[in-house]
Amino acid sequence: MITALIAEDEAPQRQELRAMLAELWPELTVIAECEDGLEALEAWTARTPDIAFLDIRMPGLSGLEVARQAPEAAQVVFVTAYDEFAVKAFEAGAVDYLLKPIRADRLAETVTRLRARRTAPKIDMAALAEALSGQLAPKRAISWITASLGDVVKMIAIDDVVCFQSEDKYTRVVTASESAHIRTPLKDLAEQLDPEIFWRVHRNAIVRVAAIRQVKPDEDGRLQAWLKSVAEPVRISDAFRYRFKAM
Amino acid sequence: MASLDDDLRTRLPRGVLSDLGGWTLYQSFRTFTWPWLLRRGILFWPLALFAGSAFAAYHASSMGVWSDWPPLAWRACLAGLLTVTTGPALATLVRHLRPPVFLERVLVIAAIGLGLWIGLVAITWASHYHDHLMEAYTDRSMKVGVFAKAFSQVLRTSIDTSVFVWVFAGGGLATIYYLGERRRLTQYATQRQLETLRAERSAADTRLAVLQAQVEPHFLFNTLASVRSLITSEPARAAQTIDALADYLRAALPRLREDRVEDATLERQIDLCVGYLDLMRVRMAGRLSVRVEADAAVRASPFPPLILLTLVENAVTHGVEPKPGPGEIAILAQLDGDTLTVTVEDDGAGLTPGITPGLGLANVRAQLQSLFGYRAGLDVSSRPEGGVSARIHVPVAS
Repeated sequence: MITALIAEDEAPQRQELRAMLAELWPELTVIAECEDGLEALEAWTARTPDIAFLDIRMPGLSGLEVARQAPEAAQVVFVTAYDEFAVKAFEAGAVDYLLKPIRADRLAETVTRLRARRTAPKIDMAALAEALSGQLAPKRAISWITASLGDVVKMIAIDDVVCFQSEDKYTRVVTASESAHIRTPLKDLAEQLDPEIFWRVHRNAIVRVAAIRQVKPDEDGRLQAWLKSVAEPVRISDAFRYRFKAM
Repeated sequence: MASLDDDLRTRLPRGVLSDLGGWTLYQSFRTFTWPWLLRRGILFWPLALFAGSAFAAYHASSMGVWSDWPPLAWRACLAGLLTVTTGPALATLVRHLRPPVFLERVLVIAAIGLGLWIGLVAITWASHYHDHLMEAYTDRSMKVGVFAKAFSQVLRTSIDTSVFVWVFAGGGLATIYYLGERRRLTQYATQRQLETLRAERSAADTRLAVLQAQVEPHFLFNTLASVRSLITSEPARAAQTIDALADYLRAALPRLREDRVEDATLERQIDLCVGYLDLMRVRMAGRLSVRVEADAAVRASPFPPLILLTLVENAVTHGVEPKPGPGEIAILAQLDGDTLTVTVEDDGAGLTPGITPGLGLANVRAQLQSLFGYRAGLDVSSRPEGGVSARIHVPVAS
């Protein structure tokens, strides 16, 4: 018995694909119909289908992420409304990709292709990871920090941030007018911030270079950075002292 | 675009002036035209009168015969006035007769030549009169004071360069300037044309960007796929989807062609969003409800495109869609003095603390900043009852 999984967030489209498959490939048994990415991953794990039809844009996990995280190999057919992922999907080892609306004659070709293949090709994790990083989490500097301000969660534009400071298990996000908290460690933040704009000055502080008003030693000769619109100075550790030699 | 045969009395556009042009009154007009001649005269006539009077004063003071001053002065002044005026006046007459270009150039050069010659004759005539006066004092030596001596030095210097002074005063430089005028005008016209084309292109680029964002291919094809699958199973819903899509496209497409982007009102943006939400409601099988609160005065306020749609799309894709069960999206707008506040609220999945790429929101922020600077703002925060509230405030000219 050949089994298949269909993941598509819109019910009518899911049912239509199922109906078309039933007509074109009566021997195929659809063992799971999923509404979103997480459900698809669970069904894939639990029932190990031979073939997976995955919509790329779905709530929860995208089709690409489902394929990447799947524990068992299956022949994957990606379905998308617009061929932004097509090439990458193929490079990642997908058997085929279908453009919405799905046409019966095109689906027949896919069925022929699936029937011709005996074994499921291994999904190329590296290519898929690249497809994911390129398309779903674009390689650009982060633009927002979603942080907690008491009971409220608020999006803070990265352009407004003056500095980040470690505080126990939190990271404090300081802007000219407020300060909020995130759980993301400073180390992870540092990797994603533009190093031209934000400088690490201490094990527990990253500051916006343009916001530095003054750098001077305190009574003990330790260097401190005074920031615009922030009352307290930020310690500069000896390891990062060299960055301020020219200032 | 400035035509080359423009009115001869109007000022030239700034871009046509040469590097040195513009600091005097007359050079902002076309060379050899009546307004040019008058303004040039205001500068040159006093100079001619001063030169004539000074020459006579020099003679009178050094000979000690002040009765010689009036007859010599008026002759020298007349010679000076003729020199600076005749050629340019004749050339101006030629230009205002509007002969063909080539003929005009020839006649203008001839006019300046004639003017220079007449000026030379007048100067010679005045200097002959001076010689005639001097004959009476053949035996007398000149009594030249320190000031007069200095003045004499100045005169000698200018006599050394007299050909230059004569040609300059008689309109020689103006002729060169005149000959280049057509070329400068053409250059200016080309420049202007290029600028217009560039502006049109950037306006077209903006329109295209708006169109692309409003009719996003993924959204369009997904809707078509949705309709296709509904045709057999639920024909009534298929029809509803098509109606909603048609309404949405009507709101998104034709206005773009007819209107300038900057004429966008909040009303149109709300219509567009409601069209989008209607479509999503049909596609999400009634899971979505929509509420709009904005009175007529608020709706008439100007509001840039794409901003509201981005917030509404976010509310659907990040708020209502990922959360199972029914969801509501509200668009609330109110005017408070000269501030327009527009809020998009949802009761969906809410915000997850951490790092967010948020390209759409970053575009909204950038657009607000470029349009209104710091007078506008965007606030995105969680709501106590769950979901997200995205609030924009922009200044409104009262």
